[in-house]
Amino acid sequence: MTQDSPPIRRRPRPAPGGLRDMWDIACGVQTIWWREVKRSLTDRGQLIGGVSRPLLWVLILGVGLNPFFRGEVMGDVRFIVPYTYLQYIFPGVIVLNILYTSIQSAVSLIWDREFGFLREVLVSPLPRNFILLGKVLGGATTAVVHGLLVLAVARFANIQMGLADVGMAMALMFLLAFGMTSLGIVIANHVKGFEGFGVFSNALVLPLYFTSSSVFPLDPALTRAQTLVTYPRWLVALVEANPVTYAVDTMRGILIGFNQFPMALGWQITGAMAAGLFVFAMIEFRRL
Amino acid sequence: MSQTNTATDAAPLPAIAVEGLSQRYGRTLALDNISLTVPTGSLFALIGPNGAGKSTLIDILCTIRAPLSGRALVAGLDVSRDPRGVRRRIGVIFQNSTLDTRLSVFDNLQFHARVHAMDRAERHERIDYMLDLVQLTEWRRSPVRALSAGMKRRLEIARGLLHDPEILFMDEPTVGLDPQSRANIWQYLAELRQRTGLTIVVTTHYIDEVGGADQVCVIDRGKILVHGTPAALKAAHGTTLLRLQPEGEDGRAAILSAHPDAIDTPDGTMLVRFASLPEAEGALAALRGRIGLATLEPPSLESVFLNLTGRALREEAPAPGRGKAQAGRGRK
Amino acid sequence: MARALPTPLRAMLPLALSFAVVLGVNFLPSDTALEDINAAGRITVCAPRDMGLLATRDAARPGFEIELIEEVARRSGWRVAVTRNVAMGREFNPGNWRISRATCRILVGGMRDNAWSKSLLELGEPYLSSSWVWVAPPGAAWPPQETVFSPGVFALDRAPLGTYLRENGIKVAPVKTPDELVEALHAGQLANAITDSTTATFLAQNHDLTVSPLPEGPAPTDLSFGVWKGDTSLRLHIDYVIDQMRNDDFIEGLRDKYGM
Repeated sequence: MTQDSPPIRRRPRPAPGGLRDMWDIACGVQTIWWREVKRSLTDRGQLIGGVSRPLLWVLILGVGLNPFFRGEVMGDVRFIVPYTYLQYIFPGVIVLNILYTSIQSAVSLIWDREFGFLREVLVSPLPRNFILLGKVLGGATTAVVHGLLVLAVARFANIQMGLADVGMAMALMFLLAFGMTSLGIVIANHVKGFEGFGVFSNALVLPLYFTSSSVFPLDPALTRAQTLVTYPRWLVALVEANPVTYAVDTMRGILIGFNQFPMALGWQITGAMAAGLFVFAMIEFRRL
Repeated sequence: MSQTNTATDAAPLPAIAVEGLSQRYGRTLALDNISLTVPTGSLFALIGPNGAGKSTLIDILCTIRAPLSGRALVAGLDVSRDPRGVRRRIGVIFQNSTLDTRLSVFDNLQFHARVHAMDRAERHERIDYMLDLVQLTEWRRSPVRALSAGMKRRLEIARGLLHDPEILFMDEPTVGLDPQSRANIWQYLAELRQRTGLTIVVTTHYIDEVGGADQVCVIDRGKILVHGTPAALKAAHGTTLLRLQPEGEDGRAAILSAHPDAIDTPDGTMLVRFASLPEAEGALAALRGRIGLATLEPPSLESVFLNLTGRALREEAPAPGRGKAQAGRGRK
Repeated sequence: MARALPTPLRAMLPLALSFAVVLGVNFLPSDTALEDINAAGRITVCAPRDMGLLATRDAARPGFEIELIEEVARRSGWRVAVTRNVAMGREFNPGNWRISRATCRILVGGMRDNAWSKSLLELGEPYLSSSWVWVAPPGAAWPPQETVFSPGVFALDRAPLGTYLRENGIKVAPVKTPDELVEALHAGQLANAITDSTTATFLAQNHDLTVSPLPEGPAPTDLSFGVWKGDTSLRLHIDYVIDQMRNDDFIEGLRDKYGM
């Protein structure tokens, strides 16, 4: 202990809501966001998942099922959907990575709050909502990077994309991730005593994924009446009630130009989810 | 410098003023109409067993939880009306380590500084100063997981004080540390108080550490039992204690028959209270042969607690996860 | 206070590795089509019997697309066998062509990008464009009051044309085949016609007519070859060869030959 305390005293408190205060808050949010991104993107466990999913779904399953969806099978020309199966599930696999990463971020946030680092941040002058914003932005950013891991396999899946397409896809990924991270926070907050992430994977992520027309289409070549006849009504209803369906649909529209519902619908629903679920998450987050 | 008489002290406001504070924990009242004041620049110790409400009180004062009723003014600001303002002026060190073990020492401090809106020059000066203060300068770039428990604690202190707060809250600061580290920590804090007039609020159940506090407050089951200076409390409520290690079941039976009000402690010793030292010595002589180790303890804060609550303060082990601040049953 | 450089880079290594792995996947072949053709050393092609300049019955000038694909095969070291299919020229629904992978691996002859083809085929990069054009004696005035209309040799989208004609107040006298079109023109009442550019070029070469695009008319349609859906490796290879042909002006030369 050699020096005296440096003569820096606390500078006067900036007026709450003023420009300087906003700047301070923005810097705080950015600090939290960056830490989240760094931690997640160097997390080997997450990366293994993020790489294995496109490999398994696109490389293995996609190629494996591709021949069954060819236009010509055993000398008989048939119409299926106007794309190869690989192309069809590709957007779904992107969404799968987004779902997993978002929920993982949310779960780690809840753990962080209960047992660790976040408590320290909660006694800082950063307003609660902005702490949450930083965390959710971080989770969404990580999810987009994981989505890009899937996009990187586009050539293999025979998908041609321009720069504009990639940009739109990333924007949609971000919106979806934002909403899903918020959803994860709301749910994880209520589920106490869970044994790690496995519960979420099985109870939330996979059901959302499989009922979102990622893996099988509600065949558009048929009219809706015929769709109901082909699939049981309850399945059609389930798929149409799942908001992720519309995100997948719009993603598919962006990437391979094939969508069953209007494109705008996907944006609207995903955007509304992002905003609405974040508000929910804010409410949950305040409950301490 | 301790200030015991708030009525005539020169500082305009107490650091903390609590009036009629209440809060629930599940269905019980964790805090029952608590009122207290903490003078500026003092070392204030909050003592009580787990479940007493210490953690809840600290949570409220740190603005982590809102009170059910009542008011708390911390550094002159109301915790309910201006929590952000309060947080600017306080530093908190939690019982469980809240460091990011994957980052380095410097990174942890920098994160804290940025989140507290310290600008670049400020950050660097303060970080250098605090690292020097807690003697971790050589460890600046090391990952936190390479530090020992004592060093981590010091780092947390450095972090908690980085933004130069007026009040420092420390929840069980020395749990899990060896005596040397514990002594060191109290030393840093004493120096800081001397230089900067820092107010420190400590909760602990290591009752032997708070003998140097300016004010001690004993809390049990949500109510304040007593508070005052250690000397005053000892004088009013302290008794001589005889701590006995019985020799087997016979020894224990013998002790109990001679002193039916002897109290068991979890570490296997038994405590007997006496009004005066000669009495205790006499009793000790009478029990010769039935006991192993015996310690004669002059009136201490531990005896204060024992007299007030009928329980030994070391009855329960420290609660493992202090993070169970939310409503939920089953807290130990 | 700069951190020592290696550490953040080292921390990013797992991420970089992850991207390397997924990008590496792109080099795996997703199907065996190209392999099969190379192994057999022979490619089978289906083409319509008659499709304007794209596929003709003339042995000396077999057609733009036929010659194109023959050149591709030559450059790839394959023998080529062209099967002419009558149904391809007449039916729009590929289901009625009665062909399969066994019959041919490439389809040419006016394959264009629409839902029908996409269900069935993968189309390569386009090498030709076709659009609705106006065929008329030199110096004829636009717009005419009435015109002969033939859908032409392949399925250009008629709906935008219909809208366009209505907007311009042009009445239409439809005929079915290009032969009927020639007859109608010679019969003399209407000296002009609207049809697809390939047929029009064909006509204009043999009669004293000029071909002009429809002013602000419907957008042109791209043509290319088709492979069966899923034979991506084959398609990518042929795209590559055609691109090379474009670069050394072979395609240009072929266009000149057919007067397109």
